[in-house]
Amino acid sequence: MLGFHMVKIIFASAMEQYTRGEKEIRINVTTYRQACELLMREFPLLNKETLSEFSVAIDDEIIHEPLLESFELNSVVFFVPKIAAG
Amino acid sequence: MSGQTSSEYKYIGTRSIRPDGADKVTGRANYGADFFLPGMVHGKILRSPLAHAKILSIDVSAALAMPGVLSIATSEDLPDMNAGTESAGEGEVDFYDFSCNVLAREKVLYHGQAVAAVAATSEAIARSALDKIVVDYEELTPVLDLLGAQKSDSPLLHKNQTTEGPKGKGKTPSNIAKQMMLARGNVDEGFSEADVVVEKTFISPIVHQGYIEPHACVVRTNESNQIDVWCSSQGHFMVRSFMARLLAMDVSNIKVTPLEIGGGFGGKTVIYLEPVAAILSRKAGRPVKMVMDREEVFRATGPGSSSIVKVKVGAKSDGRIVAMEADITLNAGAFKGSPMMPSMMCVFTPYTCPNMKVTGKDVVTNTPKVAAYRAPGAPQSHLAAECVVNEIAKRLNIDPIDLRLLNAVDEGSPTIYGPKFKAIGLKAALTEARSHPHYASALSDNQGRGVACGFWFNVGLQSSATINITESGKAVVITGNPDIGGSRASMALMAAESLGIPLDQIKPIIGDTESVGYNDVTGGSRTTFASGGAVIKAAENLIQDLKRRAAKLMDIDVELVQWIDGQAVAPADLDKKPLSLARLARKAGATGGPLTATATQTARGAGPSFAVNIIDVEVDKETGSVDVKRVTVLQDAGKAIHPSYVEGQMQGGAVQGIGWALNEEFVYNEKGVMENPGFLDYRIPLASDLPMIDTVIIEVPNPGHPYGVRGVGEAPICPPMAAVTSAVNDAIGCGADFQLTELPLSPVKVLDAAEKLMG
Repeated sequence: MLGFHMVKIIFASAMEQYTRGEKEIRINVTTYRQACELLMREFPLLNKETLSEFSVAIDDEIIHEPLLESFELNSVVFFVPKIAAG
Repeated sequence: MSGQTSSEYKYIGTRSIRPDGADKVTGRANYGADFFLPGMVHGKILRSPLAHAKILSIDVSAALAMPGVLSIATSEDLPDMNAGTESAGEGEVDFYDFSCNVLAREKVLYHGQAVAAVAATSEAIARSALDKIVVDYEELTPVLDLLGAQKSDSPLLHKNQTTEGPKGKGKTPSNIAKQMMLARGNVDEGFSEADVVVEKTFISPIVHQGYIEPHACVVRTNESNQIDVWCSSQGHFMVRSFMARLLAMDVSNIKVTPLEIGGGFGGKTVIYLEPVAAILSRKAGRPVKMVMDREEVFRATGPGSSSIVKVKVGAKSDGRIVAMEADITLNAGAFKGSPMMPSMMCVFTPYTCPNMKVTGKDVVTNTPKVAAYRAPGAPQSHLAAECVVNEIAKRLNIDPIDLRLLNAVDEGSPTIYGPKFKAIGLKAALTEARSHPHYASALSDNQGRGVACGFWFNVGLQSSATINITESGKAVVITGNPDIGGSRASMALMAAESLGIPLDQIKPIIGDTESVGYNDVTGGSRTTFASGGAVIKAAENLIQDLKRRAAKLMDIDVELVQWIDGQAVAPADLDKKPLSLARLARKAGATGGPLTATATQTARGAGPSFAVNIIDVEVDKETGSVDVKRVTVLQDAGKAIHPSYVEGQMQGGAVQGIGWALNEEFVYNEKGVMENPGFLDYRIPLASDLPMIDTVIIEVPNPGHPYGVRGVGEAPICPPMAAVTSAVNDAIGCGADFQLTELPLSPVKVLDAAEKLMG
């Protein structure tokens, strides 16, 4: 796909119930939004509410509200449980 | 660096006088219980006498008929809620459970749970009216034991709760709400390569955050369905959001004004009284004040989780750790939602070990729903991991700090939850610890030493700030986070540094929910980092505006104006006098109107913190009592904006962790009734119990913040439990096989272990 990047998405363990046990996937996307759309198509059990339960770490930076984030070529994206605190 | 003032900055790093200090020491400051309104009446809560029961009926007629009683609330006054978690602020909340915790529906799930509430013209009448409310219960067997709760034949708290796990929801109802796993590498292969393997289980009790100020609020409603709230909390925007959700209202109809907060440590990131007071006020047509007493705080607010943590560590003979495995069970209390995930994510984070596996369970019991407590979940898991690492060091005859340095994470190291670290200060803290005079000092008879490290992520989240310049040129800095640990001082210092004006020209204040943009809670060590970042951005916006106005007054291009030391300065060859902030403020009317700037952000780039403790104890072998002799705490704080506050956070966290290790626990009888709901019987450490705690601030700047701030509130509580436990085991001569593994380390337990060792 022209203009898209190969991005490695790594799921949090809590997401594996929605990803048929898949721990990671490589997809061609440039933004978080595109990634979510593609992931929801690939894994129908994943929905917006579930995805919003997680922060993402894009190339080692944890982002709590990733809606408008974009990816670099070969970005590595981890879904990370949201951290609250005292 | 030890908190010395850095020459890099003029104001940051100085130990300025706290802006709120005089009001607090003279009693002028208004805390939650200090607020009064004309016509105000008093609300009191009827609490469950049973730890587990069905509510068959509630009859309030006799209470309502009492003279002076104005209104009564039960769960029937709360809107219906759908079960299921949803995103809310920092994390996930199940508002059905939340609603039940505010006023019980169908069942009571812990002794002291709120069942009904009364508003009356006096506290005495309200209390008497509670006695007239008749609740018919069907008593059920309470589930108090964290292991027993998991058995298939255990009584169930929630008939519809099944276990959520990596493979989805279970089919059978269970008290295990969630079960998760994190892993990297192959632990079985790792253990097969190990020359030494240690496996131990550590237990810690339910503990309270120990904030001194009980929960309190005043709520006023009016005919237009507007609600005004005055309360003490860790986040007035959080109070507004939760009230709106629980009462099915628009947030715009609720205004929350923060009062001073007398401690929270995570325990005031949730609400209990405010929605009830709103219902009572609405029905009574009068403002309602509600204040918990100490017993209610212990019995009915969220404590820190009890835990059972099994850890297994394998290492090569040269000290390289090759496998780490943990099984973590945390008590959620009456409703799901313990800090299981952060506990799992933190347990081995200080180590580079290639093979790790961590499983976790979130288990409900008939005890109060837990709340956050400083670095929620991390102290419990670090207790086990750090003690086992100390045992490994002893078995390999390697210094425990050297062993940690050999295995410590650094910039570029991966975490078990995914991302790699940027600049971090664990190795720097360990290196400072190794060379600290404390570590070289000799121990006397019956004394022992423990070291431990700990980790917390720190977070960013949403913050706003506004700076208004008065007509005389002072900067009023408005943020929206309650000042729980010195944020007024740190906001003022960052504003002074950014604007280049003296600190006494800054007035930091905390705005209510309608005076400043949205702010997430004061928690997660985020305020200095994230709200401070918003202040810096607002200052930058203000400076741009000041430069534009100065350019007009000087009649030069704006690009030529520089902002230096609080003045607009033109190039020397233009022969223009600098314009001070005060001068520009006086000319504001002519240059475009009042001077004000706002900034908001969802802060990114939060820098994690690591802490290291060295703790010496002495054990009285006749009584088993433990005397803490010397404590040194080291922490990578990033840039310390106000070193005295940073040291205060480090010392406070150490004291709470030491209390957790030695004294503190919720003691329940077989009926699930807490038997020590007061500070006489629930003993937090006093100043007289402890030596002066020596602090060493390590300043590895966080690249994600303009001044390098990391945040300091969470990490200091992570190592003390493990350091104390290791020190006591050392003092009684356990060698490389720790005998004391269950907190608190009461004299009876210590004596038993010492006698066992002596045969």
